Amino acid sequence: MLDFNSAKRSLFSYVLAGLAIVLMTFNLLLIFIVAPTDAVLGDIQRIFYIHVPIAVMSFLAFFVVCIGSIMYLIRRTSYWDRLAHSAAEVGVVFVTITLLTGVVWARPVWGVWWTWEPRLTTTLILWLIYVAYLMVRSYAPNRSQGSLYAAAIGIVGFVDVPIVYYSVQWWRSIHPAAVVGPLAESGSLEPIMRNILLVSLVAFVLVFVWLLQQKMAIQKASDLLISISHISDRTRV
Amino acid sequence: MSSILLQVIELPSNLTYLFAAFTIAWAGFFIYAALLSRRQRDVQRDITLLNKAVRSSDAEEELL
Amino acid sequence: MLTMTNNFHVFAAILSKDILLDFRGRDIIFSVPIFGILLILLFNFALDVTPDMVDDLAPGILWVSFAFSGVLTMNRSFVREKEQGGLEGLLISPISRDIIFFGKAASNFLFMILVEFVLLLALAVMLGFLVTSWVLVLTIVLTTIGFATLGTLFSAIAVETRSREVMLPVLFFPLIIPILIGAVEVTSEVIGGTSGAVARWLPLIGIFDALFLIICPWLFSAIIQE
Repeated sequence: MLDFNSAKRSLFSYVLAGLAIVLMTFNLLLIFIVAPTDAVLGDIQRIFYIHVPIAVMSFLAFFVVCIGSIMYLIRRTSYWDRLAHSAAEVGVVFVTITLLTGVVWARPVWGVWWTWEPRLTTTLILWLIYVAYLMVRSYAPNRSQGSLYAAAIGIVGFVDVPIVYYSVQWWRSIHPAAVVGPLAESGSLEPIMRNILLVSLVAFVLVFVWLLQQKMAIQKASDLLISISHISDRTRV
Repeated sequence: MSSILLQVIELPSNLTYLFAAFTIAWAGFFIYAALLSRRQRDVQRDITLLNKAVRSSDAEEELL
Repeated sequence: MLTMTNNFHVFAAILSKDILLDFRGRDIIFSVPIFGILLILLFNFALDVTPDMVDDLAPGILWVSFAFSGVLTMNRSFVREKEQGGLEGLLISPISRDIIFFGKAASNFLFMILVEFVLLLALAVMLGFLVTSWVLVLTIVLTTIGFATLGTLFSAIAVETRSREVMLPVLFFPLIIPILIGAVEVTSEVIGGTSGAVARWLPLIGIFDALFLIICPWLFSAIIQE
């Protein structure tokens, strides 16, 4: 008799979710009550405490995609493929939110919705690469080819992103922005700000890991289902 | 010196943007989590159906 | 076991086959340069290019035209392979996939250089933009190597997907931004713009090429199946 419990939430994921919620609540309290108001930027600066960790997580997700892709090409087990795919999907969510919060930050602080600043530009390109990764997966003729092609993109994309960042930075030094405004981040970071940022980072790491784990569990169950329906189709006489 | 002070006083608190940013972030994560949840229910339902199908075909075999 | 000379013969065979098909088929050899010239025409009107603006705008127009023509070239070359079943034939044979990759990349490279030469001529005639400089030639060669390397890998992937015409640009353009920026900056300097661009960007393009000339053939071997 077949019995699958892989899609059911395990104790681990409940604990993880609980921790994430608790830490995030604490984090919000810190951001809004404990954090001092920035002298130059005002309250809008508090976006910094979520924007930066979310941006960091989106790059981390891409790193995971790259590792998963390399391991998949070497080992060809479905675990690595699932890891890469899940990290890419969760990564897209994180990058999209990074871009949106970045835009919402930019408007009041720099006066424009968008600027070709190295970090923002590189994040946009990161988003485009992730989207291309997911597109290739779904537009490929079959699942196994999709996994292979996506792996290639995961690797090439990750290798290229630092190059993109530096080239945009150099380009910017030649063509500085027309918009001159207060820097998004005041150069020095007070200890209290740095600590709250760290707490926020940990909170978002938990959120990322939880989402990743959920997605991977669902993917595993779904894959199992598909392979079994193939078997049952074949055994039916 | 006084112009800088004036700038600081005039600076709007931009609370709408702050609110918007946090809302976007939280809404984004919750929507994605909800999407995952829905997919999980679908997969779970399919698994249950499959279980039933297998059990009924097992039962058929036993009758033979 | 294939020897070095054998490998080279295979490489040359793939390369010459592609060149022959290009010239005999006459489809790519006319359509891509014409497309490039049309692009320059469009840019001329859309950007309202006046003679005093040419030096500012020409590098950008040049390289965007090169990039789009390159995409067209590479798309067509793999589509043709697929339609005529050439790729399967190559893969079943005991040729190392690295060689197949380099053969295709080289033919793409050569064709793109040809088109770029035509477009340089077109730009000289239409916008009065004439530059004779070895630095520019070097830049064009290096950047086109980068285009061909990444582009060949991606077009091999794109040709297997649905919506293949869109897939290649979507994959290709974000990733070649570094060398595109570099090429435009160097071209600008060559015609008398800011100095220091060449020293800064040419090494970047070189490193980019070296990196992807190693990675892309390995990936090609790993992911292309029969």
